[in-house]
Amino acid sequence: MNRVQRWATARRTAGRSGWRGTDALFRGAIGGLGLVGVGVVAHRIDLVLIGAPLLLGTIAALAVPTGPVPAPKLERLPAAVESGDRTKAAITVAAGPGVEYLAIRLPSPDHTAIGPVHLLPGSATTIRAALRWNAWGEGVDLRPDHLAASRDALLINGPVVGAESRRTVLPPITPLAPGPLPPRASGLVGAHRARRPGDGVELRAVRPFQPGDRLRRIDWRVTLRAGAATGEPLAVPHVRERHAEVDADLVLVLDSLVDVGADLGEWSTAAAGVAVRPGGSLDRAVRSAASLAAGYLRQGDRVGLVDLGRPQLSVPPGVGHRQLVRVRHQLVACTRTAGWATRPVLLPKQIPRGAVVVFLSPFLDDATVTAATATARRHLVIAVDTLPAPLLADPSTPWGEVVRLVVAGEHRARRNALRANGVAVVDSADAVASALRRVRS
Amino acid sequence: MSALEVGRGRSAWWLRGAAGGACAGIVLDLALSGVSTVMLAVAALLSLAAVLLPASPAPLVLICTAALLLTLDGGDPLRPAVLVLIPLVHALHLACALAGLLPGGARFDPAAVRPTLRRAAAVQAVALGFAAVAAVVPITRTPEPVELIALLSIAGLALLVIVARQRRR
Repeated sequence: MNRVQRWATARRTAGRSGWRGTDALFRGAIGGLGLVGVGVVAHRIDLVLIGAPLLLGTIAALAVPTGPVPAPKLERLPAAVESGDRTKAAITVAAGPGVEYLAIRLPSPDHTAIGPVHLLPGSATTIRAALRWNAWGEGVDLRPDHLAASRDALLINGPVVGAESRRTVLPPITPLAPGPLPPRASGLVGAHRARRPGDGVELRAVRPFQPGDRLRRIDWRVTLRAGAATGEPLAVPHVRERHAEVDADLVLVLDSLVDVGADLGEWSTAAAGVAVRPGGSLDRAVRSAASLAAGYLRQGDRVGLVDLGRPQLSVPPGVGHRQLVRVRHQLVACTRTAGWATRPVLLPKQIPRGAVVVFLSPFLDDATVTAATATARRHLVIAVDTLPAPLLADPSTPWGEVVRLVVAGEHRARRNALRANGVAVVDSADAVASALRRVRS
Repeated sequence: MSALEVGRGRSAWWLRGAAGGACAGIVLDLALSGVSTVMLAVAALLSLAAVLLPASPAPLVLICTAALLLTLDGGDPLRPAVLVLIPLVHALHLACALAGLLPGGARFDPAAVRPTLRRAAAVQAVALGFAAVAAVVPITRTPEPVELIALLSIAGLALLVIVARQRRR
């Protein structure tokens, strides 16, 4: 920007700051005064009468001082909300008595995003606007651009671009029944039966007492029966040994390389106005991942997240509600950069030993299938196919149906390849539990 | 007013519709007064410009054109065509002032325009009061001192507007 442009920008900004007259002021003052003046000079009372309301209205409007420049202040709202939540955003405005109108951009029940401009009475000190978050993801939901106007809109202040209020809407959770997972070798507590003895409830064996056994583990009935059988009433005591119950590791692998819907004609274009295509493969994958994470974390298992597109966005396995919040935030972060990676990256060190891996992908490229089958050599892998079905051909081209058949055929071949390599393929997150039961049995 | 719930409101097109209604009334008033077709076409074009561009000089040009076309023919100064033009001109002025504030797709709360409508009704009452007074006052040649006082009064009003505007800054 050279000096002339800087000077012009500064002049423009200075001209827009503070109160300034509008065309209505010019019309009321100059037009009204001119008509009255011409009427008096030309001895025409009718011209005076036509111009008088404009002049009188302008004088009446300018009689009240506008006061200081009103600055709307937005009440703080939470940075992260649940999908489906609703609240009312409160905006406080301190305007002088001469401010009759406040034009402010606020959300409206009929509009999405930041909403239209509303012309409101300037006397309102607190303005409340209903907010509802339907779709998960990151975005701006409030930007109170505003303009204040005096009586009859003769003087205005603004327009001023408001500060953006960004929020993260966490992906929704659908209640899912968790399935059986292989126990973690180093696990201490959990819901899965381990092979080694421990403090669980399931009987492992009844055996003679050994040094180190707890006395309360002694089964006196068995001890007495053993004594009766051998003829010694106080024979070697026997103890009931139980299996240990430990937690398990579950790693969710999110394929953020592609985001496609059912309509093949829209695969090459980005969805308008949204970061993630509603009902598309990434939307389904994120919803499934959030639901699976919630189900297994509630059970006490350790859940981690791996982004196939960007390994640095992965979350190591952890437990508890904080881990669930972390995973849901990270799912939103993964979708921010979705579609930019060219090939999947899945390093062995990202998956702990003995962990179950759930691949959430539409399986549209061979590299993802290769990554899944390579992982299946070391881990139990379940593939959740997130490709929307049935696929719709592009009606704008005569080759649309042919393309649909080719894509569907390739996709079917990839699913068969996964199954052939020992990967269970399911169509939704609901079926993961039953697939685990089937595989574990 | 302390707290306000933002609802759906009304579309800002209603304000442009009000401006269009006032423009249509002015053009009809001119047509019934026997204004030439060329001038009627000019007024219609100015009306269209005023509705589409309310924050432009078009409304002022339309107001001045209509006032001059109706008054310069030398007819009765208090005939119905002139009396009808007084509220129409004021309505056009206010509708364009409010419509010029809002961008496309905007909404307005009807409660916001009530103070303006109340003040406009009061101003119209005063203007029609002037007309009533003018109707009963005998029409004779104005003495020169009175005419001088009237001109000075206009200059005073102009000064008042300028001072009031300077005080705002």
